[in-house]
Amino acid sequence: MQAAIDKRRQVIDTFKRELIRRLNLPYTTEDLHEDVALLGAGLGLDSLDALEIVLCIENSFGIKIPDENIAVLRSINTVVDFVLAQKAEKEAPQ
Amino acid sequence: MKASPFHDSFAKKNAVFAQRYGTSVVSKVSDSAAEYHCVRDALALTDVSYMQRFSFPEDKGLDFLDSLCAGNVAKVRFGRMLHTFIADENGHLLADCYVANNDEQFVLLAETIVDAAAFKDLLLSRGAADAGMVDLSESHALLSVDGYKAWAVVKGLFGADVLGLPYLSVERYDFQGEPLALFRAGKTSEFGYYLLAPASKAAPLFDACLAIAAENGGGLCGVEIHNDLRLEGRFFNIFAEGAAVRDPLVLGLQWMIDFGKSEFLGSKAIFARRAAALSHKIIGICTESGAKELVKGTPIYSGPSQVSEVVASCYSQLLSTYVGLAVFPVGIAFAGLQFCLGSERGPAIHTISMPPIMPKSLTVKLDEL
Amino acid sequence: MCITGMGVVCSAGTNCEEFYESVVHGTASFSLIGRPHLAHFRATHAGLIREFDGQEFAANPRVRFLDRFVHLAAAAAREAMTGAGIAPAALSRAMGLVFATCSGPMQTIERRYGRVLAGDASLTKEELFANRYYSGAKALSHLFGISGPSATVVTACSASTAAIGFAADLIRLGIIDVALAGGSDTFSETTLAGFDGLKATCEGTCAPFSKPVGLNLGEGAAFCVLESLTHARARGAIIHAEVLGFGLSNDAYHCTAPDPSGTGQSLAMERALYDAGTSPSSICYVNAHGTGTEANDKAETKAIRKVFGDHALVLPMSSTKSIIGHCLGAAGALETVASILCLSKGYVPPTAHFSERRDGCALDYVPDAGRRADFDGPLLKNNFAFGGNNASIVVKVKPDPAFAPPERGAGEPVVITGIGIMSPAGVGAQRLCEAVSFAKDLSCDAAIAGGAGPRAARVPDFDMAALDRRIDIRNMDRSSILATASTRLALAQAFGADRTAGRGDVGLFLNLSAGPSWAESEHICSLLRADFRINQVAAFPYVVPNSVAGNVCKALRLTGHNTTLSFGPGAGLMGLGFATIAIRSGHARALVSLSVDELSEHFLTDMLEAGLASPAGVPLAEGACAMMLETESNAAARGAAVLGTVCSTAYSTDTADVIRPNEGADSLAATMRSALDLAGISAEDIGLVCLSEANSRETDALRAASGLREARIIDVQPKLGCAEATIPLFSLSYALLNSSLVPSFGKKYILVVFGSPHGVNCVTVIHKGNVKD
Repeated sequence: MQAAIDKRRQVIDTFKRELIRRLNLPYTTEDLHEDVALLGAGLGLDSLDALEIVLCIENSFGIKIPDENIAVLRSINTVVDFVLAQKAEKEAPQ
Repeated sequence: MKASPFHDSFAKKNAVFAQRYGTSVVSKVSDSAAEYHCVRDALALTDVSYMQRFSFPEDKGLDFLDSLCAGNVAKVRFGRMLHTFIADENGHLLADCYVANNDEQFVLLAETIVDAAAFKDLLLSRGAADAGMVDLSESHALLSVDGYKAWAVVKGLFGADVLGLPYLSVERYDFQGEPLALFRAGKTSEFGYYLLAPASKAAPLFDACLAIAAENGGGLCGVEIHNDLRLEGRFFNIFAEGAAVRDPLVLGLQWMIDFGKSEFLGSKAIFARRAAALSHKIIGICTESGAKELVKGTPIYSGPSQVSEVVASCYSQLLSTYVGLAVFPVGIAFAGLQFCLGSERGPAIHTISMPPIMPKSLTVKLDEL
Repeated sequence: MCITGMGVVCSAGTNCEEFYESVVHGTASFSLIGRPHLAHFRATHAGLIREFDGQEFAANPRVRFLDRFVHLAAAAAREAMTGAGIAPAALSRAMGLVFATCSGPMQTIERRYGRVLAGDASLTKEELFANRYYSGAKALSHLFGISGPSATVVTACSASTAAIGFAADLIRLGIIDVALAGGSDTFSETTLAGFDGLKATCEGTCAPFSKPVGLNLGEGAAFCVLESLTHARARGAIIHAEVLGFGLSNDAYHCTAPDPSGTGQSLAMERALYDAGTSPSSICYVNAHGTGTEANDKAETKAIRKVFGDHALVLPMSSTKSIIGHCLGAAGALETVASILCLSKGYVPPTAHFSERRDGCALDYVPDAGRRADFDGPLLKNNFAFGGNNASIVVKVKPDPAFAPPERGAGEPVVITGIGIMSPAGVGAQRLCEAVSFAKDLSCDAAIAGGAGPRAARVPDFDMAALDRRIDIRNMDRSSILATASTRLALAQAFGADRTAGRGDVGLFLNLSAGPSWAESEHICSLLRADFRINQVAAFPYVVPNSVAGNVCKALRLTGHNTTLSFGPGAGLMGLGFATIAIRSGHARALVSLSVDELSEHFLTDMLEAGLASPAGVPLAEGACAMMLETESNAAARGAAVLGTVCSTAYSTDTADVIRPNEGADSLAATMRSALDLAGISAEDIGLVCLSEANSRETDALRAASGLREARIIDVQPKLGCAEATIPLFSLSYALLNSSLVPSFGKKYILVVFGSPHGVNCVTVIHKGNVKD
């Protein structure tokens, strides 16, 4: 269990730090609950912020998010799920 | 106890009434599966007049509300609304609020877990009268329209322009010669609107909305089904996990707080707990398919030790499993882990990322309609 | 105000004739960008100019060192003036210039950042000038000898539409007889990267209101010669069209996205129709902004429905961007010329590449090729921009001899009712007055990376929440913060404690010299460091100088007549005159005229390298000054206290050299005389003169004018430092607000003199208090 936690925590921390830096959010990483909505409700980010988040994920994890994939950007947790799944796919033996 | 201005309209439709924190609520109108599908596939009208509602003149109301709410009321731009909370001196939740900046006034819409009268007394004790507070609870009715096709009702009433309203905004319209405030909000993860109209117009407003709802396959629903809809969409529900936990930090409501504010009601306690770092936080859980139940209060085990218990749950019709919320120690409060429910050898339960469902409304671009 | 000459350079033609052929047939003129280092962009095509008649300007030693946007502009301007048969030199100061650009010398700016990143920060005065947005206007004045007022509109993609409107105002009020107005922008790789990052570009070629969604960038320049009907008739000029009116607004909504309700855009259209004295139903054609992006095409369609109602259903509307791409600051002028060329030959210009209707777009977009039509009614031209700037103009192709433009309140005085100051002395006018009176040294040595910087005087730290805690500065750059604070102070003085007053239709004119540079550095350096990989989109929306005004409007909810003008040094004073003109032309009853200077490290480095600042010299200063202007009747109706009355403003531009002013002080002295004449007063009426004693042209001009020798000189620069754009307003504010400066009897007038280091001259006469008292 600890290994799974550590792997997830690392992605969460990296993403939160970048999110706060790029969008200049007035919160610490501890303040951001992983389930809080990113767009509209919750953090209330707009479409320009959404583009910044996509670039943030691309640059932090080397993972591209397809243009219309709004399901990924719903919460920090959904982003982290996507990143972990893509990483697993890349690392999987062909 | 106050009766809702919509009471008679709902009563005629065989609504079941109940009481909650000193107000009458419509708990259900038909069976829960039907109400659920109304919202997810069409739309439903809900009497949300149980929400406490007050208006304040902009200049005086600003300071008053800002001293009360965790969020920054000063930054609420014209035509927009803020989702925040009001806590007590100990930093425990009392109310989940929308603060809307509607032209020359602020409107406070609050779901409270204290008695309506006690909540109003609290406001008065903090100087609400000097802030020019007007209680709209009797004079105005509040109806919520939620669902995949909720936009059809407001478009039918106010024209296509209304579709341009972004989430968390407020706009003034005219309904039969009376001013009506339309709030773009909602907590079902489908499209949602609140309509605040003079009580004298409650019946015609209800009729007009229901007529459009019927054309679109919609109907009426009670507040009970909203517990399930909120949980599926991971909207904070003060009546479920809020009432059970009450600590906004454990509940993950930091986004409702402006930590840059020097003071608000309960800020000392909240800031102190934040500085001390959190020991627990609430996360999502779900059962495996085939599970028979997920009951609030059931303990959750990691090996031989209890680590948590269920604080809210519902059967998700979309996912065909039970989903819920539980407060975990932060060290293991991560999605993707497996625990046991009820006992060391109980059925498996998984921590999950929220929100668990993808609502149909997210695939619709409103302003294209 | 009629158009008697037009000139264009763009991918669809390098003169009006070629351009007309491409537009009327809907022949798109995009080509592959084909640069390997940009191959990863979504955008594949752009409207690029391959060859043009103006290549000689690129070789002309007088302007060779300037950016390509100047060369394109010169080519288009020459065609316009040749066609009109205008000789600017003969017109002297009766001819003015309103230049428009979005990105200005962006190619030159990009090269400069490239060199700095490579370790070479050196910069000559000429190179520094070539980096400025206002270099284009000065170059055209110099090349063609246009010596009247000159301004550069920098409201991004709405700039040249507004420029035509401002030129029309200058003529309408009789300030000049003839104007050259238009815009120019060149293809910039970092701009393309910005639009690509915002996912606003399309693969292949664009199809506004159809599919695919997205825009192509273009490049080009277009200029029009405007003149008064009387002037045109007197010389027997051919009249191509008449400018009936224009309207501006700000969305006060978002830095890039238009207000989806279309409110701000419809405001601009409604104001243009009002200004033209015409009704929506009389409009026969709309040349749309029509970029091709999801957000624009939908919002614009919605706004058109809002303004025109059911008339929208029969009203043809097309986007010339389907043929030439989005030419940014030049777009409005190019598209206006396209509309005039086609309509005057009996065709409605088309939207090329129109395959199917896009969702949310359900109007008549004149698909594919020009449509035969013959009508007399006027056309409406829209352009909308980042920063929430919207501009619409109404143009009539066949002028109606019987048409009488609506009455203007031109006779009514414009008064100052509020002054907001952010200076090195601190927050507010009081601090400034104290600092000047008690001669405190406010400067310090500004450290910049790699060594000692020049002396600099910064605005001390302050708490915005103490001014207005409803202002959110979290995503504002330094210029925006200073601009917002000073505007808030001016509104507070004008409207008192009432927090809601002053919102809505109050306008805003932002007048810049160097302009902001935070976003420019951030965006360009991020791209250059990463081989044009797009790492962020947050800075790009703020690269355009008008983003500062956009932030102010959004923070303070100002949706009125709004623009951003780049004049260079002295911009604050020059813009004050333009703002007065806007009020006198009836575009606003009240507006704030504002200038701001920021001391970014980039700016300090440039000034030091170019030898324009030194660790020992006059300190460079930061600051902002906002003045609330309104009609005298508006102020009287509210019972507002009047601080001063703007009596006259006179402008001139020295044309002998491209960068430097003319030898001697003759032109400035003549401008001073004009200002006195326009105000109807003599030199003896002047009690105070605001100028810089370090500027020998200003002191010489003063000595040359008899009757001014006894006037007391106000010069705050030695105390506050040199804030390029704002310094004349600091002096003027001191003159207006310092109670110890009571003018002696009969000498209630203040003369503000500014002769810029580039030979752009401006003199204003202000009456202390209400001129009626």
